[in-house]
Amino acid sequence: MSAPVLNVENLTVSFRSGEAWNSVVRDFSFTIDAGETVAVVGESGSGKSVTALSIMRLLPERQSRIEGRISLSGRELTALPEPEMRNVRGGEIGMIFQEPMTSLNPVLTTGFQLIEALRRHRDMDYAAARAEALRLFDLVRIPDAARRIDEHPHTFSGGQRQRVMIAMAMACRPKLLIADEPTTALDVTIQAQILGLIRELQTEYGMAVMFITHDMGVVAEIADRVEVMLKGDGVESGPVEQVFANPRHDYTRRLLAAVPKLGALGDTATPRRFPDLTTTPPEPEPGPEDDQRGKEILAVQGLVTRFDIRGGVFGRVKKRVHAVEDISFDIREGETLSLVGESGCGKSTTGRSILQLEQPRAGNILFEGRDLADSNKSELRALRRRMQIIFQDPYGSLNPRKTVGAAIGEPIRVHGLKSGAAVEDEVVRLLELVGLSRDHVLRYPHEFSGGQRQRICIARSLALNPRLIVADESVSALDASIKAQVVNLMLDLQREMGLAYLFISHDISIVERVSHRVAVMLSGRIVEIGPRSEVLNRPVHDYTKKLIAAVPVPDPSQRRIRTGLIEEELPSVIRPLDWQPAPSKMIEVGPDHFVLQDDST
Amino acid sequence: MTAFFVKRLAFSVITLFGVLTIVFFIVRVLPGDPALVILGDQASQAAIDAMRDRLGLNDPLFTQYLRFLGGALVGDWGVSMVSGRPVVEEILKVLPATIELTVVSLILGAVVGIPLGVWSAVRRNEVPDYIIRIASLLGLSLPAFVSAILLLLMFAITLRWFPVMSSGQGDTLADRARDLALPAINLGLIMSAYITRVARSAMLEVLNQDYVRTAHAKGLVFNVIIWRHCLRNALIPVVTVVGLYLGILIGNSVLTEIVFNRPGLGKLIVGALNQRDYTMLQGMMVIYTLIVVLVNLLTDLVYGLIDPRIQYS
Repeated sequence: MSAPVLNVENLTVSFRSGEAWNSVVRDFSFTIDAGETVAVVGESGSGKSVTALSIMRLLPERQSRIEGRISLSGRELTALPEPEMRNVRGGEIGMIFQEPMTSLNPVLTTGFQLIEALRRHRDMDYAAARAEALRLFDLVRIPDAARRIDEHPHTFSGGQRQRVMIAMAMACRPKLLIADEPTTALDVTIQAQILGLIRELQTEYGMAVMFITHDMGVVAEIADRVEVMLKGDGVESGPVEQVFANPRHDYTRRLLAAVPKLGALGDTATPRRFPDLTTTPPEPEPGPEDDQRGKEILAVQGLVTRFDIRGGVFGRVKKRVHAVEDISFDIREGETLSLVGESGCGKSTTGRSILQLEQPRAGNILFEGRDLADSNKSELRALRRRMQIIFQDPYGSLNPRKTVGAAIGEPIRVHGLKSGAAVEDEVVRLLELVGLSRDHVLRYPHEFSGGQRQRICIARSLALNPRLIVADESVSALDASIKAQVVNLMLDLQREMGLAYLFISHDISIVERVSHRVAVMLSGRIVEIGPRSEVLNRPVHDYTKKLIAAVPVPDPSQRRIRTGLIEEELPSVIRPLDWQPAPSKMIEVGPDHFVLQDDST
Repeated sequence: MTAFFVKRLAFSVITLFGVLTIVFFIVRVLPGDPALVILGDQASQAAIDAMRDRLGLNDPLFTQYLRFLGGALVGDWGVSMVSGRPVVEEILKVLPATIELTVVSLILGAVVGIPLGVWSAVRRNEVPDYIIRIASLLGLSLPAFVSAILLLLMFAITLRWFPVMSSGQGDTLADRARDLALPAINLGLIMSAYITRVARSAMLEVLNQDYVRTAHAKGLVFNVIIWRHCLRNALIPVVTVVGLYLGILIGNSVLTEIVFNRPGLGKLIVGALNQRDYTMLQGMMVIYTLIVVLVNLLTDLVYGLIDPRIQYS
């Protein structure tokens, strides 16, 4: 058997903080063979990205210290002089990063950035490098490559940019490809395409792949072996089937249990909490929640929201974005309706239109039986109090200069619900409701973790005693275990207070856990809406089927991602001014289960 | 692109029109009768009336305004009350000297300031960074006339490398360059102090971007990463500052031109102020506005050359 391509032995990485050194990776060892994919798994702060950057020696030299051995095909990298290390970077090790939107230089053409890498490592003249770049663009399936090669990154979609990054990493036929969360920022269908592409290229070139991810579903789809990291330590390692079937370490078991498995809820009608795994022994899988749905609280009828695109000398409207086009649905008290779809499908605009954060062009929004469009300002204010929104980014939605107590207390004071010391008591009650305590009132947002901040946002939205909460990708940015806790909190609150949720998400596995009903959106329209078990287990519309098929299954024996997937992008919703959209006609295919009538049905 | 250009040009015309209007009324509300200023205290009432008639000051205000706008349009900005020569002629005579000084000091400022700013950012919190930061702070705080006098003392009086008085009218290119050197260095160094600071902070931000990490991961040489990948991204704020600073530069050129006794717009405007040459002042204000408007237009166009994401629509 030949030597491994990458051999990491007793790697310890420390960062300087003042005079002291803090180790962020400790005594970590692993190997990757040619043609093998090793997934390095862990939650944020586990040291997996730092390990990758240490292999590339991309950490800031003065602030970091690397100990241990890293060898690539038998050559020690830690002691290599910088000029030789530069030949290794991009030449022998290619790397793809998490953020396709910002990983390419905006002022240089995509083709140039690729040609530059080729000329740096492969001793080609410009013409030869350009021809090779064109071949690589075709290889990673950029449509219309001959034209696109001279365009700048901002004209590419996220998925296409990640393809360009892959082409760049593959340009010099590296022995090792390091992929650092390459699909985390992408939609599931695009993720499936990218994973397929990486595997295809690996087979073709016989590369070793180090795949960093926090998503166990992706691990099951792509990895041969798994390394699990926890707070800087490697805690478990083994073939993917073994790690999934017989996890030895407690943390691996918790990690796997926190992964929602699509289809796990079967045909039950109601949401289900995640088991609490921090207790010993871990809580068993809970049963389904009781069905406590009450009367209708929100009805949306024929909602249309469009945005103007202006241009020309006089700023006239040139085109329109048909973000939301004639959609209708309702939500009952104590019910969760999930809106799923890919970026740009109009799901967030729908949520914002309901809260009047965007002005709808047409349609009625009835909240508690009152039409928002017919209400005057003070009525609207009263109605809006009872509808709240929680956003995706718990970092950006809290004012860094306001204490948590002030942030939660503000809406209570502004709306005059309580005053004086009563506000204080109410803030403490809300904090305790979301699992925080009295001690947190005077702290500032930066003192909290992402999960805690999202709890604070939830507490703030509950301050006005709402009946409906629009949760716009509210748990998407959180690690799996934190995500499970926040989802449990939301379900508990729903049970206790009879809250209705409009749960907007691109993550279908989470959607299954929390919803009573699901609506699938594509290009501004709802293409399928119905009870969760029907839509997810027996989808009717082609797009719903495609979306569900793209969700990675956290079970290595059921790999579904295939190579050679069709490379489609979503149709554009930018239309000329005279575009006359047809009304959405829904066909009933089962009890309470409707599908849009279009070409595919 | 064309639509953007037409739109911006239209805005420029509106701005100019507005300035012309304001200038016209300011001059009319200033104390003192121009006819009296021209003829002096000793003039008879009949002579003053005749002069007022000749200057058109007895016509209704609106007629005067239209005549002023019409004249400005065809380049007739009236006659200097002091020299008796057309204002346009006087301005055009000194304009090349000012443009020469401004452009050369701008180039000097960029050539010195951008590399220093980049270097300072790359060696952040190290000795070169500290030195550059202190030097640029000094350049910002030193008034233009103080640095001008210091330069004169050192290079013109002690070392005798350059002339003390620079007429800027030398026959050969070498003469002109010698005359231009000290004033241009004076303004250029101040300019470079501004540019250094902006280039440094812009570079610091760019150095933390993901695409810089990508460039490192490609194995590119450090200098290529800095000059090809980072600098162009950092140039937008630099161009903004240069555009804004051009206005200040013209102001600073007043002091520089006086200290070095160099002809130029600065000296002309100070002379006109002292002698209450209203027509000349009117013309000067229009020319300054024209320069600022043109520089802004140019800045906007340069943005598009630097950053392909900026679309002129």
